[in-house]
Amino acid sequence: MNRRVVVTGIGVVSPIGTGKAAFWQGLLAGRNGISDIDLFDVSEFPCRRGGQVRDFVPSQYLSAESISRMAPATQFTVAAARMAVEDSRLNGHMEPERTSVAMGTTNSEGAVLEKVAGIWAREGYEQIDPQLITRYPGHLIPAHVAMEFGAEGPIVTLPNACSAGNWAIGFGADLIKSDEADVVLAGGCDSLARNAFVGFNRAFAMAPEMCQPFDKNRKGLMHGEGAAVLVLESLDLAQRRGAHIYAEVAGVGVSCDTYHITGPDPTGKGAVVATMNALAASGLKPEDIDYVSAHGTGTKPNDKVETLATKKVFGDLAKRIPISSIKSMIGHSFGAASAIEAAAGALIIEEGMIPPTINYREPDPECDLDYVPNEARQHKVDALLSNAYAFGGNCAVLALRSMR
Amino acid sequence: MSKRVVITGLGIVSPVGTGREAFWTSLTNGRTGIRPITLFDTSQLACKTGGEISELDARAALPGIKTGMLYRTAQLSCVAAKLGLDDASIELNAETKPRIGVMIGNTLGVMQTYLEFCRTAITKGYIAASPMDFANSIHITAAGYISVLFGISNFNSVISSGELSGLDAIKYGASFIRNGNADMVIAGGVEAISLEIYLLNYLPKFLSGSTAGQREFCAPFGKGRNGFVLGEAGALVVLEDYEHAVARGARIYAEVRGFGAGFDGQAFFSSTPAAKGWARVTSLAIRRSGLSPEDIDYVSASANSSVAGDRAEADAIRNVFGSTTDRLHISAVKSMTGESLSASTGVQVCASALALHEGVIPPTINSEEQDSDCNIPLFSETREVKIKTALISAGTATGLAGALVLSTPQ
Repeated sequence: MNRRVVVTGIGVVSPIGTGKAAFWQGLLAGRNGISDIDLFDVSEFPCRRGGQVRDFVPSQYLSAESISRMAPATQFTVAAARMAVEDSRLNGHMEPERTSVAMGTTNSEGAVLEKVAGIWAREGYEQIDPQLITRYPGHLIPAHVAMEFGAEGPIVTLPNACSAGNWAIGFGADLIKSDEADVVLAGGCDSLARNAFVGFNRAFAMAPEMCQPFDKNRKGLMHGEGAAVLVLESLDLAQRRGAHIYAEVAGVGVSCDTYHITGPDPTGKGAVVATMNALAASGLKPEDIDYVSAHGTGTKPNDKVETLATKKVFGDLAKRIPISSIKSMIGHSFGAASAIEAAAGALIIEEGMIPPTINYREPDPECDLDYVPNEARQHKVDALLSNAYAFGGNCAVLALRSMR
Repeated sequence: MSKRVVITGLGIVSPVGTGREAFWTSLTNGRTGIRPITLFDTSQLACKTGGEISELDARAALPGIKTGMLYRTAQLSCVAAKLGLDDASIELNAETKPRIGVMIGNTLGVMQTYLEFCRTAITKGYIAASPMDFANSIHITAAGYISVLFGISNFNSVISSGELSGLDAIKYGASFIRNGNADMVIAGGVEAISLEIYLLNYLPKFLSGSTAGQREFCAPFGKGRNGFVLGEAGALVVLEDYEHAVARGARIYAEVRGFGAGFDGQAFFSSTPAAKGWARVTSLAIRRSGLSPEDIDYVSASANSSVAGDRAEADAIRNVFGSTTDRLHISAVKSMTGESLSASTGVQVCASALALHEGVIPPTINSEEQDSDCNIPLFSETREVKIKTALISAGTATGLAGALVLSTPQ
């Protein structure tokens, strides 16, 4: 049994807009979603800007009771799931036992821990509210989604940080392929974490002003937040109910570096193998790929190694394949990042438009590919790869294909 | 053509012993690993005990590997992985390393390091927080360290679903072998005790003895039980392609058969496991194994001494096995190890694989006085009996339930 898996619904919460339409318009306009963070005190950090979600109104998607039970990453995720399910017009077609949820995250409900840490540091742990601390664990995020939509199939969290979204999509696609589910709500989330400002400022890996992937003068990543949920569905069910199909999940390839717990292997080893695995899993050849959605964090090592890995896989073709990083606009939303990029990928295939890498000013001799600088481009895309790399050397690459 | 997956190595670090032999000797002698907590000060808490690993020594267990940066969860991951690889007689070399994957079931692995990192930044300013400690607050490193320190490169991943995590990890890990993407996968569950995780369970009064005046004890399915005792463990197995295992003459403990998992919204809402969803996924696991309920010999219960959870599991077992329930061997190893959350199903899988391989089933201790609400057969003395199949059952207070069937290799 090897069933095909398609994307039939998209929900996004991002720093450039909430909802598929606002997000997509923002991407094509090259909108900068980076602003001065005011969600918490960032005054002590040298770098204090990031991709804060500004237009999200929880009550548009969630009941007051749900909001009161959910920490921020969960609110983003359930809202994105609601948008995705509405977009797919699945209501009435979801059989509870055949519906699953798989979510990626980096920090679970890190915002809860940050609040707990403050209370603990100032007043002692005796003052921690049990209702607060019990909202932390990451496996509750997909459970809240399952609650909202009555899903009774397998429910998992893949806390694989910056590649978590691709892992969740891969897990979900496997469930459908192996006939364990017909519908999987798959995606990723993270809310802004003060600890990421601490960590990346200390590691000198955060940019002060803007995110400039592949630019010679790039200064680091910008931290962002958000969520994206895709409705993954068996092709059979989608066709039977006449659903709108954005794209097919052709395959996911994973691998890992063994070089360093936080940095990439300078030879791009894990990235190359994960890309080859994604191609093999999809039955696609390098020449079939029309676009690459870059991991493109804007750090010196990532963008250099990603360029190298792309050249190793695609050889002479590499310079002819457009590759762009939407992190230039929304920052790096960690557990949400590759899910948001997958949502963008499905829209790219649908619309035949490629969002740009903004803030691109000076070419870097070590990054010499076509990064779609600053302006969106019309370009027919029948197959694309979306790269994601994480701490732990973790690499996961998603292949999406047109169903046209 | 989907490949068959077998267990060829057991890597276990637990409160009842480190290494397969110590672990098994304790379980089959009904020895408890629950004792007064030493990892943090319990003087201000009503609860004082836990299933703590007293002899964890990552440096000694991992010769030639730099262990200084490993936080406790990562220590358990790495030590259990090493024990598992050694038990499976797998030599790490240029040929094997790219063919081994890592799938760690873990939910709370960085709760302690994340909180500590935040507290440092809050009390001393961000400049006092170290980048290394930041890396250790990112969850994927609980699996990533195994790849980086051992050079294992097929993939690494963490999967979180509370007590179900170990089973989810084994099921998902096995799929990489079934699809031919990996020859071997280190998979199972890991969870470490810390004051932070203790508080997560103590403040909402999930722990036995967390209400003043209550007796603090661990008695799965027992009369008067009042909550669980927190434990910790690293319990990983080496999953292997059956053909690959046979070709290299590996010892095979058990074959990985069918799996079922699901979510019960009612249980999530009421924060108590529910029998209905649990029974459904248990039946699913048996059916996906190509078996009937009467084919199951042993049930490794999830029961952890919580009032509602144990009752729901007993009801689920009755519901699935009906009149054949009374011929089942059922035991809850958490009576000896405590509730090690994400590690717990890894512990149950290790114990069940040994039960299949050795023809010995560990008992449920402390439950001589059984709760009449938990109407299933228990035993308090180790049994010597040849069995062919074991079902590992798992349920959480967050609405997740699952079951995995193991059998002797066919």
